[in-house]
Amino acid sequence: MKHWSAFSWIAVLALGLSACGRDAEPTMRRYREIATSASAHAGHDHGDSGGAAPMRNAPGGMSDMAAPGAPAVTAANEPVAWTTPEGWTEQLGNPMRIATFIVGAERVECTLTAFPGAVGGIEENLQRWARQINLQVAPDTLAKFARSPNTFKTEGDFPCLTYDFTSLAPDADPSILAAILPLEDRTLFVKLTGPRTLLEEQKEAFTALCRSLRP
Amino acid sequence: MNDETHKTSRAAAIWAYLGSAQITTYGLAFLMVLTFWGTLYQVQNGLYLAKERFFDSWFFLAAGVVPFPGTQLVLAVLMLNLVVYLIRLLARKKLTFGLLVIHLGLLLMLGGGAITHLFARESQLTLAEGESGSASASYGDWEVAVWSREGDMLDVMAYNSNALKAGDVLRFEDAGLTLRVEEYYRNARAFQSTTPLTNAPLSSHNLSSLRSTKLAKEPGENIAGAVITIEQQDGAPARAILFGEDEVPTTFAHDGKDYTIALRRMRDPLPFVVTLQDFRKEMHPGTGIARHFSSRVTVSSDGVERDMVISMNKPLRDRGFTLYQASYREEPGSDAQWSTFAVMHNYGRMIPYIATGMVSFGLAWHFIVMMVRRARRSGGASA
Repeated sequence: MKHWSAFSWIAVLALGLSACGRDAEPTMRRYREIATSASAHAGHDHGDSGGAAPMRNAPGGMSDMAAPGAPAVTAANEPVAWTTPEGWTEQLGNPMRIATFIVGAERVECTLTAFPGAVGGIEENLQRWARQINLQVAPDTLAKFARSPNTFKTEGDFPCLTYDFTSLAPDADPSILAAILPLEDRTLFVKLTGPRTLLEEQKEAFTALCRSLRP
Repeated sequence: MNDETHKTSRAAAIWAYLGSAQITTYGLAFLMVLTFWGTLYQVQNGLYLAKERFFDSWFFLAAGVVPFPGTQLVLAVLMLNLVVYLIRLLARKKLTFGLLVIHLGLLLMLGGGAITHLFARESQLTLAEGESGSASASYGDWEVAVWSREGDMLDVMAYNSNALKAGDVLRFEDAGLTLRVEEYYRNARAFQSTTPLTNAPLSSHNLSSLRSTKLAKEPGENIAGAVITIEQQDGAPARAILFGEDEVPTTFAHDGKDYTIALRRMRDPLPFVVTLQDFRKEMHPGTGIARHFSSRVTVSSDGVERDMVISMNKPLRDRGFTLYQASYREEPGSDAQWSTFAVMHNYGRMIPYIATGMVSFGLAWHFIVMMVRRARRSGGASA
């Protein structure tokens, strides 16, 4: 009986403590940090070939723009030229998403984006893109994949590394064709996400687009 | 026995029971069960979820139905048990110096554990060569942040988003902004629309919706997501999708200032600025495996700068923060290198060392005293 009384006190204490802090109002913190490309973004990774949405001015002047803290957007604004593959439709872009191409009957988007600086490592970008198509890749496999791109120089002498996710995961659907062009002051990304069959059909056109990139 | 006496005797019995060896035994038995069970759970579900369920909780529901005490509760009861025991011994003047020091050391150990659990933070800081940082990023905690830029500094207002739920309201009065949470997911999948949407929510990747997905074993693999309504003082409300992978956050203007909204890994401001000057690594010959890597950094605070090297076995310690060399990144075909530091912030870091020292000292003292007494008794008996 004595033991049960003590346990019942302890149980009441436990329930009371577990209820503490629940449903409390969220509280705000305020602090200052140095504006760097890492701290202005998600802490370690930054840069994504998904790029910014086309500029939208919601009422009140709200819009999607480049993140503050990144080096001047002008670096990413330096003009890049290309040759649109046959059968692809080009859409207007903005300072971060240079161009969007509509591909195939499924009207899948291929994006050409630019980010100032080195914007993270190859593996981090590949890992992020793998997650976008719900692909679980072991670190060793990803590291091997990252070290085996198809590499060439474009018409404008840009180094280009292309990655075909259908070779990494043949059963994945949708999948991705991606290209990373690390330039001196910015990095260009070309990314086509879509059904596997479409990627197989459009792989040559994708490579041709990448090869055509020039200042 | 009248009522007063009955109540006093009942209170005394409870007091005695709270300080009894039975509570200690039950508590240690529960700790053993929790450790074993939590270890098995971790194999399937990962360290983070095991820690959350077994080791960071007051209680949890076993099989989804039966309440079972969590480690926090068991340790709290053990601490109470130890305090009551000490008080009772002191009251009966049965506590020798050695025993007192031992038990105070144990109390300090439990207290240090509580401080570490409640206040310690782990995060990471990744810097490119030449880059400076003054805040580290959490592995698994997220925040909804609104900031404005003043020169090289960001003035940040942020809410911890881990416990966010639909209906919560986040106010950023300086920015003239109120965010109403419609949906929040600790781990989300984001979907893009392949056709243009009318009244599309604001997002940087044409996102049309979010869905919840199972929490990953590693907290760093969870990507939080939120659907919010943004209400500005001087503008119509707008719907937005904040996705943790969103690298180009939404910006807006208020009172002549530009602000940015983002859902990002929670920042832990450092009391100093770290600038990565140079990262070096040595590989095992003939392999791609790093044998040793280190970072030369400049640490600046209060106008003073120090150059230091942080390597795998030589962390930087400053004002309760410890920075360990954790990993690095390189980009094929370029010289770009990034160094990643694991950042531990724990004011109670030294407590286990002090507590162990006290217990050891107390044991030694008690042992020596008992030996001397026995020797005296033996000497007296033989005389």
